[in-house]
Amino acid sequence: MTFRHVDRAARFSESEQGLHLGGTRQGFPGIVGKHAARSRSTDASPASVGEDARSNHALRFEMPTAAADGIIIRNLEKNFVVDGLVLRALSIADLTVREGEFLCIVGPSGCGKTTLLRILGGLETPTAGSVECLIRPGDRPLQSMVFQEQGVFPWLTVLGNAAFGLTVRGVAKPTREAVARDYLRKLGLAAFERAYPRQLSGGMRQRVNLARAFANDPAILLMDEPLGAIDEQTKMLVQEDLLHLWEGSRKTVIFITHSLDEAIVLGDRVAVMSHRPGRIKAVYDVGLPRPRNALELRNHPDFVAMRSLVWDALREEVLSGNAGSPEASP
Amino acid sequence: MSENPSLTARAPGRRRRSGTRTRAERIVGMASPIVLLLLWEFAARAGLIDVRIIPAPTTVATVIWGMAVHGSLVSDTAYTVTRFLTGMALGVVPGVIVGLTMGLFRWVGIVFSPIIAVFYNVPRIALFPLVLIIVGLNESSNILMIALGPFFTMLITAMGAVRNVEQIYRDVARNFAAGPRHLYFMVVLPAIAPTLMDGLRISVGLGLLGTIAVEFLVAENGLGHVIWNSWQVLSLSQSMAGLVMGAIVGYVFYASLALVERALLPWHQPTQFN
Repeated sequence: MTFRHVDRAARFSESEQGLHLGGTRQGFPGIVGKHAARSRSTDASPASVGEDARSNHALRFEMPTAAADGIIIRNLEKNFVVDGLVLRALSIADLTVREGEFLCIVGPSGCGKTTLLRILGGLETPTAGSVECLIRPGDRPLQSMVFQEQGVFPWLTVLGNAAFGLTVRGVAKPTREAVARDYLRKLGLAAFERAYPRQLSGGMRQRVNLARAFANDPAILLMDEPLGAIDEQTKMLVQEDLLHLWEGSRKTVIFITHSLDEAIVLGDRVAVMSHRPGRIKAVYDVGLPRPRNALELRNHPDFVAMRSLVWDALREEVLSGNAGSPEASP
Repeated sequence: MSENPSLTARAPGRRRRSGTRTRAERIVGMASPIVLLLLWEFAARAGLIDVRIIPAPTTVATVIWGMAVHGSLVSDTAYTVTRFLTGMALGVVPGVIVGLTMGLFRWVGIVFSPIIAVFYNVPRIALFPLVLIIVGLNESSNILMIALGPFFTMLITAMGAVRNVEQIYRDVARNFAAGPRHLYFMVVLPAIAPTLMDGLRISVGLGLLGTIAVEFLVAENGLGHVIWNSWQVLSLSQSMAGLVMGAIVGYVFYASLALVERALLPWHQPTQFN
């Protein structure tokens, strides 16, 4: 899907925050962009070619002849070099994210799930492998990330934060404020639009984060443990809000979490990642009916059965992670 | 929505912003300098200190009044304030711009850091003869000397602050494809603004130091000239009057930074410092 190619050293000075779609394959014409690829050479990589586009608007998709959709991840590898040692963080052979689905990824601490999301969000470049995105964003942005709570800008008001994505896309002030207000209202923050984030509780700050991503109206939402730092009671309420927002939108969501309950409550499918290097160990169809109620679902017999099924897969990874390497402790 | 706002929003009074004080704290904060003045007055009148060297506060006040009415103290103060503000502006603005550039652009930082390190560590007043030869024996030299302290302070502050901007803010900007203009003005500059305010506080002290120093050395007017000139004719109470006026000028600028901070950075917990 999207790698944004920004030279690490000069990333702050980068003027072209161009999107780059990794991976072209036979029959897929790829993306029509303005700039030639400035792809980092990944010698082992079969793909990772594409074209940059100046902004999300510049992307135009032409559908491949073979019917396919979603995000196709193949042989994706990410290594980090730590103190001269190569650390294999991620090794995903094959994962397809279906268009319009809510995919939750769970895994033990340090399994590379956040790395995967950062690659998809253009914040890391993979060492090898390809990510193909066949989702047509139309005139919307392709993807936006929902960061952890501290990703809210403390110097912008709640309204300013919610409208951030629209502001940098050059949307006119009345329009962007109307859109942002709409999402703030849906998230119960209408009365706080002039407040600064530090005046809010953690749960409310996280709702600001959600509003910022939803107001940007991307085709794909990438969520990096957005509710990880919130207490359990508030978390259920925010999950409820998230379900409401998403069930109307049919956006493709990739949601990283360490909470199995959360993954099952929210997801259409749950992918379990292995201990490092992170592989996709198994993918489960949740199959619980929608619309869901985050509070009541936890007592549903299917929920309980699903949780014990997925937990069996996850437990091994958590245990081997804790026994194998001390630095992988939570 | 489901959370009750009255429970989650911070109730006033329950947790005070660290910048605001209770009435008792404010009273004590204002009383402590007054008590010091009273002690000084008492010590002078009781003969505990030599009033020929350190006159009593009331004496200094009388001298200041006399110099203001019959002498040139008002215009001297105005000269000092003008020099100080001009030097500050010419130091702070380029300092921030250069510091930002060095922090944002890796190679600019690599090229200029060693040069800055050398010049920053030269005792600045030692450059004055050189500046006088190059720029000339005029007001421009004075302003340049005054600007140097704030310039280097703001440069180093801005450069360090940019490098310490939280990674997550940069990530958000990148993920939302923020262009350079939005990156600087909506992310980087606000993120470093509180640190810049701290740099500004240090710069006020250095700027005033530079102003008084050049007035000692070459100026024909200004509070530094008053202090030095009075000392040379051994008019110590006039020298003390100049000193007190200088202290008042410094205090006013230092204290007004709190108001500036509150107006410009409403999201920031203001530092209490006066």
